Amino acid sequence: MVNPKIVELFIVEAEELIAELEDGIVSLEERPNDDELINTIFRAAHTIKGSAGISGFAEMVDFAHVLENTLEAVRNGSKQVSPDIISACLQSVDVLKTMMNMLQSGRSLTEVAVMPETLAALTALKTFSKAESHPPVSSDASKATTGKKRRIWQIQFRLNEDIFMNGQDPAMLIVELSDFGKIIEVHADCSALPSFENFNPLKLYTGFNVIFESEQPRSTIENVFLFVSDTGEIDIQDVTHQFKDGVNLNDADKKLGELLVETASIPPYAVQKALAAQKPVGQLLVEQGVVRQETVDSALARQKTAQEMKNNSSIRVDTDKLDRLMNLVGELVTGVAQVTQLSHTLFAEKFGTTENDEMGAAVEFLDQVSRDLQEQVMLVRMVPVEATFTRFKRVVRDLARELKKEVHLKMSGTETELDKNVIEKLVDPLKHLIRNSVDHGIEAPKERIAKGKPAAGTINLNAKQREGSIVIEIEDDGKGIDTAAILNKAKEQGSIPESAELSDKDIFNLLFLPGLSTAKAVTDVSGRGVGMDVVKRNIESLRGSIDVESMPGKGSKFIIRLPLTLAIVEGMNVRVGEEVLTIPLLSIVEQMRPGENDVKSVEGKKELINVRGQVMPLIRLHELFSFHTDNTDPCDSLVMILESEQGKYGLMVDDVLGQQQAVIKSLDKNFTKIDGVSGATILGDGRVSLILDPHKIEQMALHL
Amino acid sequence: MSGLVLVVDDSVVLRSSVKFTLEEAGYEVAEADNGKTGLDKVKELMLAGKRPGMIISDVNMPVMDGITFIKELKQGAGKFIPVLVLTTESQPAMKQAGKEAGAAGWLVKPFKNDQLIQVVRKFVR
Repeated sequence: MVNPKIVELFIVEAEELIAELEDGIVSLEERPNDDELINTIFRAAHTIKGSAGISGFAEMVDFAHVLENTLEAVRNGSKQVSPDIISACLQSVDVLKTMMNMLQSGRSLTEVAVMPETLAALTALKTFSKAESHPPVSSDASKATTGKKRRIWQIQFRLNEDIFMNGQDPAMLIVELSDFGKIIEVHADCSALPSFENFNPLKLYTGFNVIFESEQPRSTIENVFLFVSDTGEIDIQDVTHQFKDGVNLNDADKKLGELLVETASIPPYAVQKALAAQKPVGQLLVEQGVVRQETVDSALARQKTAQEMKNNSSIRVDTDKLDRLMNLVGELVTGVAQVTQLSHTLFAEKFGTTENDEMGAAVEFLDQVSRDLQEQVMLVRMVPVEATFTRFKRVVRDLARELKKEVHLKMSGTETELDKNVIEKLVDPLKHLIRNSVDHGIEAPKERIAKGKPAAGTINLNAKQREGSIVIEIEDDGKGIDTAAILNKAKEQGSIPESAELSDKDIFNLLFLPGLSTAKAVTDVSGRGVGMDVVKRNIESLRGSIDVESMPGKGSKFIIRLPLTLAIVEGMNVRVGEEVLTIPLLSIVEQMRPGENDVKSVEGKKELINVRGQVMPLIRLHELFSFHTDNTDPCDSLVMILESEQGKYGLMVDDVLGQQQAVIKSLDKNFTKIDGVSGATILGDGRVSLILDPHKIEQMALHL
Repeated sequence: MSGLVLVVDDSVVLRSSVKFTLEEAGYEVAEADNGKTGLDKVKELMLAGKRPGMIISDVNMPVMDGITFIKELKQGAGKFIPVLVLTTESQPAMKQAGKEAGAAGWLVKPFKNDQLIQVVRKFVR
């Protein structure tokens, strides 16, 4: 029986590796010759296989093994990266993900192993993992393949000493190589050469380093060394990326000694000896009397500490722990606020003045520190959007391939940080918008060329921080939104009156109406509007907003604005009778005291309020929540004008008490869900205040 | 000889699995996730007066692979610590490289727990 702790570790490790694998494979399409990338991908698959074995998941081992074989073929150069290989690999990543889901829900993997998706992925992979037949070894082979990309190989080999006895000759190997391409450089490694007395002319002492340019695959080069491969070390590396116009770019980073040894001008020990004669800069400075030994020591110690810090710059923390910490800090801030209030009151009572209130000053300092602490804890929850954005590469790639379009996803501002909870809830809406852009925004390559655009469309995904909020933009260079079609559709459905004249901005907002998402609209209205109401609702549930900009023929841009964190809301405290309630500041447009003629009753008991010529519904908060108050005349009350999904409305309250940064406490865990209330917060005096949900209140009162 | 074994492998699952097995058999286990951190760990342990009785190392690891790790280890104060290579690699060339670097043993994954303990016993009592 496998230790359950191991299985737990395996699930965490495998999820990370699968994500690494997926990201790597997608990136491989862009950088097919990045050896380091291929190695990373291979290692991820390899480790998944090994760990699955230890954890006793045989089905996963078998599957990962086939994936590993394909990747090995890519790694050793016998297969070139192609869109089909990438697709096959991604398909298998999906199977691995399914397997992980099964494991997490405690189910057996046997059913996944026989799923059609699994079998399809296996078949796709196996086509690539078969060994490719070696190309014919003939002197004119290089001519037969002209037109292929020339690659530069570094071949390092050190053969067994007694290789001459077997009739082999390293020089002949180099000559044979030159049949398949151009030898750029040959260096001999003479480091093992013995002294003259001990020199045996029948033995091979030198190693070789050959830089070789060829159109042939790696297997051809391996073939040259086939008969000596068992009797020495042969290392063949693709170093094409290191060369530019025949110059080895790596030489730029090499030390002089390394270059001299490499070109065999001097033996390595001579370099070592010369280096040993050099003194460290600190020692030289001390000897010259510029600094004291202690100063050098402390600088070295500082360097060491910094290097260590750099190496351990992050740790993983359970989000539950962060949430608890966040909650406790919230409590602390509230507690301190209560103490502040109490200390002021007590001081004033005792001394009859608020001057020279030392206690008050001390408490205010405490208040400041606890707020700073709260801010820092909030920052801990922030994570860069990069990981989330990177996922969309796959979405765009898959969909573009399916629709036979060419689409590039460009990302910027990926280092922008957002609350982890917000990011998680943002994935679906973003995915939806990006899919929309690929599906309906970007035109087919032919259509684009006809319009004088590049065949490949571009989607820009950009994140930035602006004035206490995060802005995410999804911009495409497609055909733009057809405003006339939307307008017609909305009129047809009766969402707006026939006679309505709307600005472009208003028309774009129609996209978010639930009605516009019918199947017919997809073809009529370039499809935008499919589930856009859901996107908008999701973003609003994060207390954010979404806007659209579009230019016909030029493209469209969706702009999402989000608060930095979900844990805190800027709120306005209002009083109704004995109750204090909190309204999110973002929803408040203005507040007013209506005159006698401003409020009108209409049939069905509904009331309307006239705000400088604009008529909107009036909702009496005390009636809605059955609070007792003596203030029932709107003219004696205050009316908060709130902005909501359907437009503006007035909310009648007794009094406005002031603004507060409210730490949101969820009620759902302890109470049943109350309509119109999104949470609660604790006031400075320790009382609980409910936080209102302006959208829900409107729906409740107006029966929408 | 010390009953401390250092496990160098990039997979936490593999490390933990070896750790649990060896700890059950009465050994103390330290961990490192690649050749580079392995070297640091050896240094750290030796400075603390806890020289590992042996090291179990993977070959294919990020940052620094197992063969380089062994080579570097054998250049320094860790010279006399026996290293057992625990890997899926079974190619003769790789084994040869391991042997030349100074590996004392080669065990191919997947391994049986009893087998591992037996091999470790050869080096550390």
